[in-house]
Amino acid sequence: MSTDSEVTSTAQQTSREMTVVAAMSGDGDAIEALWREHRRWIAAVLLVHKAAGDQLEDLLQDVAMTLVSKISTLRDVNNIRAWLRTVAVNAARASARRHRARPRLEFLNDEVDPDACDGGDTTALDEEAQRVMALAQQLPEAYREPLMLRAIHGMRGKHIASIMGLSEATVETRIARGRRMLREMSARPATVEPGSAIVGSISGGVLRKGSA
Amino acid sequence: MSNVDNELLVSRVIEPDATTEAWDELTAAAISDPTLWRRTVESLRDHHAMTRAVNASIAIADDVSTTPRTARLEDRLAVDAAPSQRPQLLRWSGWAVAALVALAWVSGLSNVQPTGNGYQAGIGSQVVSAADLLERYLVQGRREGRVFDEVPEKIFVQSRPSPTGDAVEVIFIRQILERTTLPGLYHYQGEDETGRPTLVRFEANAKPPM
Repeated sequence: MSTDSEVTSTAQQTSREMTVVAAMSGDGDAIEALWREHRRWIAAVLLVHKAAGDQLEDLLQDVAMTLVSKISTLRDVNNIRAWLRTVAVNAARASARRHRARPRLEFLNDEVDPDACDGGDTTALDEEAQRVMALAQQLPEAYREPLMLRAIHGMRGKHIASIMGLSEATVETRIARGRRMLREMSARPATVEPGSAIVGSISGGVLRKGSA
Repeated sequence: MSNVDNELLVSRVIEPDATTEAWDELTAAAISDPTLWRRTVESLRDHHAMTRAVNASIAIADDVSTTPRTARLEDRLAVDAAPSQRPQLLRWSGWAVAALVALAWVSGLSNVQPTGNGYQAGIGSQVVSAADLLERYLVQGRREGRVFDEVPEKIFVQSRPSPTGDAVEVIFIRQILERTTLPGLYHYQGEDETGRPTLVRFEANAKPPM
């Protein structure tokens, strides 16, 4: 006999599937509900894959627009997370290609700009959070993505597995290795010295500094 | 026990839902490898720092919605079908200034009266097309100094088969570079507990976030 939690879980799953089906048929409210459910982790995926000068909000809007216009092409309602991740990764990479084509400006700076590590507002972050985030950006993507997804409040291994199309065991292993790499990088002296060359770019009329 | 397994133990106990069994396994492994405690503390510290950083960075996602763009698109399509309807003013990208520009645009069209055959300009009785009206807007705007020019590139939104099935209907965004002077610039920062929009004013010499 099913337990209460199993019944609740099944009901939630059915409700999610119905939302996806409604969204696929063009129901605006369902599309918005779908977007609200997934947009935070989509932002984390974008953080992993985007170029340093690209704005996270712009990329989120790109993904939201693709969700609206392409959701009807989804083949499997149970594959919504992986589909959204693909959309997000493609949006980040397409923007990165455009970003490379834009004029870039080189200059010297004597410190690492915390904004270089992500597109969100990091001005309110403490130094420790900025330091770890900058180090995480140096991890290989295969480890950085599950690690950053795991840092989202409420995100569990099975969710990350369904997003990335991996088994839970693989996700757990990658997170463990990513944490070890992060720890080892923390133990090493800083790799960017004062006076290092930093490459920036002009994006949206605003000069942003970014790692080369 | 291998080093990889020990790393898994460390990783498991720093999870918010770490089980008693995971802690017991780590405690047992740490008898032969006491460095596990230091590694656990360091990874826990990194995890908390990353949690703060990631959640602060992705919070911006809460300001992005699918509704404004689709609603605006639907409003435009509705206007095409029923010329007497005006587009609703909708927030886009959190910018009140965008709404102000839209307001000015709608006001600019307020002297254009719909007819059975299309739009009729308020000046004279000559029936002109939307393209003619737009060209007039650009010319007059340049004359007044409020329009620089139309950006040649259009932003592609969507394509779909035309109703007749013999062509493709393309939905796009036309970009016009304009200048305006406003008494103030406000940034939309969500809603208060009563559901009313919260606006924060920018200083005149401050650069708004892009």
